[in-house]
Amino acid sequence: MLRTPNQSRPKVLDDLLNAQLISRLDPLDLTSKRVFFGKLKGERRSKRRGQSVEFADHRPYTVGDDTRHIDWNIYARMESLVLKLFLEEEDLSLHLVLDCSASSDCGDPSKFLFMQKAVAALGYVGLVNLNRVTVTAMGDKEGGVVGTVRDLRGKRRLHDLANFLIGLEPKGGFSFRQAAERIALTRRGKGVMLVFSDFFFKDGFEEGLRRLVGHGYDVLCVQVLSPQELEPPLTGDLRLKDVEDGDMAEVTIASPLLKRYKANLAAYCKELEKFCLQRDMQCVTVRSDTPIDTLVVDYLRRKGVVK
Amino acid sequence: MNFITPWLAAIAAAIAIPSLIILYFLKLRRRDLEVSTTLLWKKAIQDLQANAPFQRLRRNILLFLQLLVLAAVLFALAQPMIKGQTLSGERFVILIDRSASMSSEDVEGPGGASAPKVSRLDEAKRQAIALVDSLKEGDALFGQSRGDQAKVIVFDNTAESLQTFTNDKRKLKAAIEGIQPTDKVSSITDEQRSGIVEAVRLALADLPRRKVSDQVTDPEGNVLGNETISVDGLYESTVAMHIYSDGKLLGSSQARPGIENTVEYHAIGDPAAKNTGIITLKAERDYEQPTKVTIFVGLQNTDEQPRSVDVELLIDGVTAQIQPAQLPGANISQGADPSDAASAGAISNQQSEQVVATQIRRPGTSGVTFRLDRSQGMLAQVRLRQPGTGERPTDDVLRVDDRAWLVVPPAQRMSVAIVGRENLFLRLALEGLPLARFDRFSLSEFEQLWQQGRAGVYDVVILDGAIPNVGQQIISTVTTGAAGAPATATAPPATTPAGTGTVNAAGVQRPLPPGKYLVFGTVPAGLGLTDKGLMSQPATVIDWSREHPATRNLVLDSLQIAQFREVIVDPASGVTKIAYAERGPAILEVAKADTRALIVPFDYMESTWPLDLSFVVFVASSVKYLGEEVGGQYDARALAPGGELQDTLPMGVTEARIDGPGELRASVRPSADGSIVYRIPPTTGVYEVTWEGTAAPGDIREGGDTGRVLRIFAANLLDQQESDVPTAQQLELATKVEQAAASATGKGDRRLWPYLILLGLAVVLLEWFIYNRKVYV
Repeated sequence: MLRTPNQSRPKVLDDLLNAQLISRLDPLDLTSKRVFFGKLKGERRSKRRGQSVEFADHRPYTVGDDTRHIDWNIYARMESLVLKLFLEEEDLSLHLVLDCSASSDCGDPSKFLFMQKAVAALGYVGLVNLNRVTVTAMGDKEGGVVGTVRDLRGKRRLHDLANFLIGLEPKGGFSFRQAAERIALTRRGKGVMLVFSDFFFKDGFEEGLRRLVGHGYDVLCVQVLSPQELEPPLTGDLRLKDVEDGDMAEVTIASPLLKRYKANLAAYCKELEKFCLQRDMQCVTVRSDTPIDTLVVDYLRRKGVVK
Repeated sequence: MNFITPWLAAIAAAIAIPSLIILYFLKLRRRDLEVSTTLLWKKAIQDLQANAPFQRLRRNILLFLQLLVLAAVLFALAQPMIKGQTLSGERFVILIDRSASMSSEDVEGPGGASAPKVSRLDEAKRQAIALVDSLKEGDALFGQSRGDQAKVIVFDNTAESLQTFTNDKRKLKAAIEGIQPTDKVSSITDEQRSGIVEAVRLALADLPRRKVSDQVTDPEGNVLGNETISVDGLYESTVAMHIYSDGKLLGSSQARPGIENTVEYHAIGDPAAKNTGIITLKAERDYEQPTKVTIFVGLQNTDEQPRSVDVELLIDGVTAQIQPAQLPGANISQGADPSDAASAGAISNQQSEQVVATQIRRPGTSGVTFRLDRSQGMLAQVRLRQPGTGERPTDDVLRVDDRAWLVVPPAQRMSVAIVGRENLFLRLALEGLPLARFDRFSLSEFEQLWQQGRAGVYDVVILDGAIPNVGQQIISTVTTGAAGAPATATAPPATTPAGTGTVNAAGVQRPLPPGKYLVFGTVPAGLGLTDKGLMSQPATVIDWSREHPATRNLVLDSLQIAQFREVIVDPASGVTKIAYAERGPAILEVAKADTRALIVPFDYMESTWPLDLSFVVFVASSVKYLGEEVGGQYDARALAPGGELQDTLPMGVTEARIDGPGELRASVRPSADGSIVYRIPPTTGVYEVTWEGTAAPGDIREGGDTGRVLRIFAANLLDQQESDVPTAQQLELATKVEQAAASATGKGDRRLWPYLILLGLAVVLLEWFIYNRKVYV
C-alpha cells in the first residue's frame, strides 16, 4: 500500500528470472480454453480443421472442397463423398499487460516488481513454446500506454522482453478505459491476455475490461495486492495521499474504520471477480509476496492458463 | 446527595466541555502518508460518516474517556456529598444543652469501646461541628451570602447566644468548641424557667415575622382597605433547628419553634445510662433541742438493678459517719402515667399514642438519715462511695451529683422582740416558745435601740400596730385610698405617734427596715400594698393556705374580725397571700432580699382571734418560720450553681471577699444596708464569704477575735431531673414531639470529590492503556 522509497529495480534478467524458477517453468506451456488460430503453424492444435496429421472428424463433401481430403475408403464402402478433417496446429498469441502507474510501485514487496517478475516468467513460458508474446505497459502517457513490445517468439527474444521490463519506470496515473481501448485496437490475432494490475482505478475497471473482452482473446485479470493493502499497518490520525493524483483523505484509524476498509476491499475484489465471470473472463487476486512459481505453477495452472 | 457548589461546577462545565471538544478537533495533527490509492479509504470514511456529523466523535473512545474524566472532575467541583439527614433550610440554629446531665460520661469516645467514655457535651460538640462542616459554603462565583448560615445557642436553665448567624465556619466551630459544661439544671420549676424555651425563643429572636396583608371590612362587608399584620409563629425565612441534648428538658412543651421551621433533635447519650446521685440534702436542728442535727440525704438510682452505695458524711472535711443505702432499681413501665398524659394533652392523638408506646422509666429513690449531736456550725459534705472500695461508685456516669455540701449554722435559740403596745395575748403566746431572749419595747425604745446598733440581736421582731422610724425612706401616699401607685418622695424622718397606725395625718407610710418581722395591724409601704382603710362591717376568713408553714396547722373558721383592713395587692409586687377574707387578704407574706415579713393587716384585738387557740399556734409557727435560718432547716445558705448569692452582711462591712471552687476569688462591696449580690459560676462546691468587721450570729470568726469573719455557702446540683441521666429518645415541643434523629450516631457528611478525582485518574490510566493497545492493533 505504502510507497516504498528507494525501490531496488531489477537491473538484469536474472533479477527477474533466476535459474531455479526457469527450471520450474520449462515444462510448462500455455494453454487456452479454446485452441486458437495463429499466424504461424505452431505446435498448437487449432479448432480450425487443417492440415495436421491428427484426425478430427468427417463431414459431407460439398462443391468446392479440396478433393484431396476426400476419404476414399468411406466412398468405397458407402459410395458417398466424405471429407476427412484434420486438426490444424497453430501458434498462440500471449498478450501480457501490466500496470505501470505509481500505485503499482507500492507495497512491500513491491507490486510492480511482482508484476515484472510474473510477466517475465509467463513471457518466458510463451517464448520457449514459440508463442507470439506481446507485452504492453499501461501508464502515465498519452493514451494510457507507456510502451509495447510485440510479436516476440522464441527463447532468443527473452532478452528483448527483459530489457523492456527493466526499462519501465512506474509513475503517474492513467485512464484504464483509454489504455484498454488502445490495447484492444492494437492487438492482433487471437490468444491469451493477462492483465496485471491492482485494478484500483478511480474511473472504474468496468469500462476498460469491457473493451478488452472478446475478439478472440481469453482474458485473465491478475489483481496484485500488497500485504499492506490487505492488512493496513496504519494507526492514529493520518492524512492519506494518493500517490497517483495527490488526492487527500483524512482518516483516524480505529478498528471500525479498519473493519470497514477491509470489508470494502473484499467487496471490491468480489465485484471485480463477478464482473469478470459475467463476461467469460477469469480473475485471480494474488498478494505481492506470493512466490512467482506459486503464481504460475499453482494459481494460473488452476485457471487453465498454463499446463 | 447534595452539591455544595453546583453553580461553580455548572459554569466550569459550560466552559470546559465545549473547549475539550474544540480542542479535540484542533488537536488532530495528522501524519501525512502516501498510499497507493485513497479509493477504498474514502469509501470507508463515507460509509462511517453516512449517518451523523458526530459519527466521528461517537466512534472515538479517546474523546469519550476524556469527557468522562472531565465529567468526573467537574462533578467533583460541584462538591457533591451524601447525607444521612436532609438539610432542608439554609439557616441553621445549633442549640446545645450544657446542663449538668450533659456532663455524664456515657458516650463512646473516638478510641472505641475500650477507651474512656467522653461526656455528652463533648459528643454534642463533635456532632455540632460535623454539622457545621456539612454546611454549604458560599462559592466565589455567587458570593459568600449563598452559603448556609448558622447560629449557636447554648442553654441550661437560661439560654445564651454564642454566635449570631454567620457562614464563617471557623467562628461557628470556635463558638462550639468554647462551650464549657456547667452544673446548672435545665429548668427551674418554681420560676417556670426552662432553658429550652428560652433557647428556642432566642433562636427565633432575630427572624422577622411574616407580614400578612389582610383585607379590612366594615360590618356590612365593604372593603375599607388593606392592613398588614405580622403573624405569630410564621417567619419571613425558615430555620432548621438542631437540638443537641439528652432530652431531660422539663418544660420543653412550652417551646414554640414555629410551624414552618424544622426541628431535629439529636439525642446524645445512652438511653440506659446508669447513675446514682444525691437529689436532696437537708439538715434540721431540733427545735426543742437545737444541738440535735438531722441530715437527710435523698438518693436516686437509674440502674434497672437495685444497688447499694455507701453514703459518707464528712464534717469540716473529716469523715464522720458512713451509712449503707439500698437503692431500688429503676421502675420501667409501658405507657404514659397520668402526669405525662396531662402534659401531653396539647398534642394530637397520634402523638399521644407515641407517648403511650414509649417506655416510662422511673428512677428508684431512697434516702439516708444522719443524726448528729453538735452545737457548733459546720460544713457537712455528703459523698457516695462504692461499698468496699471507698472509691466513686462504679457504673456511674454523672460525677457532679455524687457529692453535695450543706452549711449548718451553730445551734441557737431565737431572740424575739415585740415593738408596740403591751399586750397580754401576744406575750402569753410567745412565752411558751423556747426562746433565748424575749423583750418588749415601745416604738421609741426600739428606734433608740436601732440607732445604737443593738437591734440586730433579735432574730424576729413583732411589730404590733406600728412601724419604727429608723431613718428609712418615707413614702407618702394618698390616704383616701384611691387606686394608683404611691408616689415616692424623700422627706426627713418624721416621728410617728405610737399606736396610731402607719398612716398619720400627713399621709406618710413607712416601709419596713431590713430584718424579719411579724407585722400586726398595719400595712408597710413600698411593698406594693395599698391600704384602703378600715372597714366598718365585720369579716371572716374564708380560706387560707394549708401548705404555708405559718398557717399549716390553723383553723380560722371561727375567727370573726370586727374591723377588717382592706388591702389591695399589686400583682407585680411578689407579695404572697396566705389567708383570705371576704374583702381581701387577711395574712400576707413578703420575701425580699433584705426583708422577710408576715403581715396581718387587721388589728387582732378587734377580733375574736386572741381568744382562739389558732392565735397562739399562728404566732408560734410564724416566729419559727421567720427565724428558720436560726433554728430549723438550713436552705438559705444553699445556692444553685450559676445562681445568685444573696445575703446581708452586718452593717459597717465595706468589702467582702468570695472564694469558691476552682481558684474563684472575687471581691464584692456591700450596699448601704449590707446586702451583697453575686452571681456564682455554674459550678457546684463551697463558696466562702469573708470580711473584716462585726460578725452576725452564726458566723465563724477565723483566727480568734481579730480575724476575718467567715460565712459559708454551698452550691449543689440536687436535681432529680438532672440526675435521671438516661437519654430521652423524644423531645416534646409545643408543636410536635420530636423523635431523636436517626443520625444520632453523629455520622458527618462525607465529601465525595476526592473519590471523583481518583476516578478521573483511573480513567486517565485506562485511556492510556487503551491508547497503547490501539497503537498495536
